[in-house]
Amino acid sequence: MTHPCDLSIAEVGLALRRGALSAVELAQAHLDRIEHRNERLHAFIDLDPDDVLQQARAADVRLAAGDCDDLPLLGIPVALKDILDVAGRTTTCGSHAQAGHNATVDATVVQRIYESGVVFLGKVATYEFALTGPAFDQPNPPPRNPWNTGHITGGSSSGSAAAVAGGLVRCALGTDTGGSVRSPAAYCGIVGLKPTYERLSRQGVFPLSDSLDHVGPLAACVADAAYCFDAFSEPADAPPAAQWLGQGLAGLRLGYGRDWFAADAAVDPQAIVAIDAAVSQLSLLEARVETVELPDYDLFEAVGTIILQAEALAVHQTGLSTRPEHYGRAALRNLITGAALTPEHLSAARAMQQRLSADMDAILNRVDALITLTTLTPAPAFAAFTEGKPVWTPMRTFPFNLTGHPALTIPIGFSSGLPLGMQIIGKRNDEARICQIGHAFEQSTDHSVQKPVF
Amino acid sequence: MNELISPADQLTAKAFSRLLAEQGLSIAPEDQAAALTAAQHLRAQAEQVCAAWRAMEADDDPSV
Repeated sequence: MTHPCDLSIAEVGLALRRGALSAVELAQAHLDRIEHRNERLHAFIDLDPDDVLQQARAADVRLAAGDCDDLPLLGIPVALKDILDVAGRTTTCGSHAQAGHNATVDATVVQRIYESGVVFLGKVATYEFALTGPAFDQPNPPPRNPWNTGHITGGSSSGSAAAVAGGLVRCALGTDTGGSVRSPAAYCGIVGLKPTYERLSRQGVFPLSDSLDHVGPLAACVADAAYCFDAFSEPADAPPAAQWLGQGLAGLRLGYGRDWFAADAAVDPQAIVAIDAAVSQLSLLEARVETVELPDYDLFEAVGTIILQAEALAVHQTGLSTRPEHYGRAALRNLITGAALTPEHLSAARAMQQRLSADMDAILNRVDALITLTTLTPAPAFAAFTEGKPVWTPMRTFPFNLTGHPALTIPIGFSSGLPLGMQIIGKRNDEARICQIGHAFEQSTDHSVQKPVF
Repeated sequence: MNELISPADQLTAKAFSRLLAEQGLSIAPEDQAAALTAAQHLRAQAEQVCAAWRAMEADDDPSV
């Protein structure tokens, strides 16, 4: 019999409605999993079992009353990256600089979570201020990759990825400013959805870079991510992300952006093998795959970095000027680089952002979705970070923070026992299409079935 | 802007320190030194983006 924590959201929702499982039993199963595994993974940093069980009891009352027809997530546990405000809890942002910053109001997306009947399981770790890591001078140790605890999870949604990949929770919300949902999801062998810009509210989420920040789910499978997105997102004139789950891919046109990574000296050869095989699989599923030429990747990365560093320094200018000693060294050293920029640099970067977004819109008007790698390598080892210097972790996520297009990462295999991910990018507000493609691929392979051993 | 750039078109340690001070940031010398290479890289990226944008504007301008 499958452990309750390993049931998909659809499966566990059915079990709850049929009375085969209670929300309290489900919550307790998750609390037990966390008790047994979190010491290895360092994912959860704020957990209140009494509050969790109280929420679960309330969910059971509603389930018993049949008050669940329009609440598919009623009674299902979800975790939150600790840069989202939950009233009455400290939003640490993984920084000593946030000590004592207790939230008084729920973030809007947290309100959506409560409205959907979800059981808020607890908060999970983040790289400091969603910026850079791993670091060992934060309030909590960096989370560990469940596939190999000698390797990083990636970040900054590090705890979200470790928690989902480690089977502690089916879905955890993260944030993505340059890839912070998608790259840890890829490194940990799970699904990550960076939605269209502003589809999940940023109100009450500590900012890194307002123009690039996105809130998104990290989940154990595509359907889980889609259901959570649909429950927590702001209204839009678009089909729900779960609308076309289970539909075939015949006739869909997919643009394969192979030139973004194939000739890069940093790419892991096994990653090329894995994504070429994944693209072949999509063809077998009757999608029409064609190679497309994408705009210069390096230009995207330069423009994104300028905007991110300028906006992040503006957010932290007061904190850095009044209490720099409260920041971790890596975060501080990253943030202050923004001082090298002038208003003219930022102005040119914003103008270029508009141009690049229009270019990407034009490409996406010719296909139903784009395909490329998420990260060029599997997760690096912690040993690479011991000298305190930044470590280059090549990925292909940043462009879609600039353009705002939705992007989904799904597992496509392994290199040296560590997961690799494929990114599927859609038109604006077309989460349904990329989830349809990701789900069809997932169902036709066994990549997402494999789980780390505990 | 030119006074901030060394003959090798690179942000100097002295200029970076002055820029930080102008923003009201009192940063320890070892942190400034550790951040300098990344700041130089960022500055170089920014100059390249400005140049690319100017080139695009010129391409778009029918009078040029």
